[in-house]
Amino acid sequence: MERPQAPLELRLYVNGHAPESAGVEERLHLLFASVGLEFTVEVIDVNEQPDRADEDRIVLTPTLLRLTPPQLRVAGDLTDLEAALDGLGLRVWSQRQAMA
Amino acid sequence: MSISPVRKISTGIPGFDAMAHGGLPEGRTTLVAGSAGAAKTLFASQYLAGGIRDFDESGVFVTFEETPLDLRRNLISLGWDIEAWEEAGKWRFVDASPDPAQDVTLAGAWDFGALMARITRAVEAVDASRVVVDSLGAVFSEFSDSGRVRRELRRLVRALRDLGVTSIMTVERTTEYGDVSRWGVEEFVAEDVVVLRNILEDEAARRTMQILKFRGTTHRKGEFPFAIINDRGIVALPLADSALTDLQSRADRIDSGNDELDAMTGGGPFRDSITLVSGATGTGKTLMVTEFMKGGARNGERCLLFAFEESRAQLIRNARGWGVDYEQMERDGQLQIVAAYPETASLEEHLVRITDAIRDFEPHRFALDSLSALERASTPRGFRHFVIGITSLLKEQQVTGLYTATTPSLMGGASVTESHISTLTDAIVLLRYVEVQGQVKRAISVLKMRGSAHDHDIREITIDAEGMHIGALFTNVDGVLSGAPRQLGPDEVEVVGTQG
Repeated sequence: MERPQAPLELRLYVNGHAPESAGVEERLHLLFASVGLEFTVEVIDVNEQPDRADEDRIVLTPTLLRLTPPQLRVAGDLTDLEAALDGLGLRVWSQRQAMA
Repeated sequence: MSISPVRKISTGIPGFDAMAHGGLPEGRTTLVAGSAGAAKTLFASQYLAGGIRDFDESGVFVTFEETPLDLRRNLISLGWDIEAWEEAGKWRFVDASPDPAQDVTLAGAWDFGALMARITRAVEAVDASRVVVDSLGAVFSEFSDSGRVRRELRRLVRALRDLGVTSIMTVERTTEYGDVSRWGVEEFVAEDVVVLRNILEDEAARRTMQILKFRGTTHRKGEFPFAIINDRGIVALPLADSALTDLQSRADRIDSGNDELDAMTGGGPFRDSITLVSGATGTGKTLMVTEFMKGGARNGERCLLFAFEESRAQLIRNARGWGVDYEQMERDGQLQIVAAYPETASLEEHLVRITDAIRDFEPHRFALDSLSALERASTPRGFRHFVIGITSLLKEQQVTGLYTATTPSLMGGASVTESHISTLTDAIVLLRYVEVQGQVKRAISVLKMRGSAHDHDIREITIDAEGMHIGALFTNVDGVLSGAPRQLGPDEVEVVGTQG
């Protein structure tokens, strides 16, 4: 598999009022650093832009959308790193890293 | 200290508001629990539709299960154009149904922040006062962490209260009786609980609804039958025994259509009474119905006849044979005949039709011929509900009622129908065949006449082109009612006298 050159496009829905959403951006950076990939992220607070959440049919916060195909969704504060890697389709890069 | 009473808001679901003494408690969340197929989604949808249609109140439908597309399609068959209401800003979906094309992987702690923000936005956008969340079961099955789901739903209930809306949450249950729901939801949506049931008894399905609790406010107790009717949706039948005793009995009497019978009953049936006529086939039950209708017509009263045994044409022909012109009575607006087969609809649907007809036609008299035909296609419990339903409606509307019941054996004995409902009726008239001196004769007896003296004799009846005639006593025959008549010694004068 070709290593993506362009940064992965992401969209992150957070609930500015809730502890679940605090620290999720920081963990997102750590997660991508662990696989050595670049990303860009648009962060949306559902309380400020509920219509955006409606368009994307978001129920849970935080929810991370991978917009670069394949389109994938991960919900939760990303404290479960393994599940997050699987959910974003990044597991393969994590293994390459480990072998390198 | 003053206690502010709980206000109720009308649901627009026919019959439910009467059960609920006004409707759902305002500003709270009512849990609507039911097994699969119990019509929870319909109940919830009808609550929103009723708000828009009857009160110009907007609603928000949060769906966890079916897509808005499916819901629009299903509900249009009931005559509710959801799309038009959406365009008019009266109805708004919050689509939380699972997207089959895109799974969500859970990676850590989460909350319903996005959902709540969307619901809040939707409520504000259409200025909604009603919200539906359908269904909590789907939420629990989608998100495995049920402890977290419970916590988030509790927050959702609080958020809905803060929004000032009156809402319904639906939830699945696995049994018709027992635990309210599978997930212990009632722990946090505990104030107001309604249960919908779809009970299979003796191979017949029966739907009922029951308000289990309304905190701090009253409601009718017990299970009430309901039907799902095309173009109308859920129609509940909130009629119960209580209605039978609540009402003031009226002492005036009416013309039964047969003077001799009126003499036997001490002056004719009371205006708000129900009479049961029981007898084997051919003893004259349908004739008594016809006389009852005739009595109405000659006193300028409107009569409603529900016939479940004979066709319209047969009824008209029979009546003509006894000197009663049903067609003329119909033309004069004094009679409405509804002939139906018992098997074409559930008992609840028949009850809805009868109720509608009584409300529309506003008859003074109502006859149902026969209860036994309906009983064959139902369960004992369902049948009792049905009879209670009609009886209480008739009493409420001060309509005089006449039911017929068919005894299975030709020579008497009690009918099944009779034993089930005799306590609900005010008067019972028995019609029997009697074998006397090698001849089959018909006998009539007034077994019960609540609130009045009555004749205790067993008399012979004859039938001719002018109807029914009540004649002499069977003084020398014993055991007529039990179906085993016994001659007590010949009385030539009487035998000769009645043969003519």
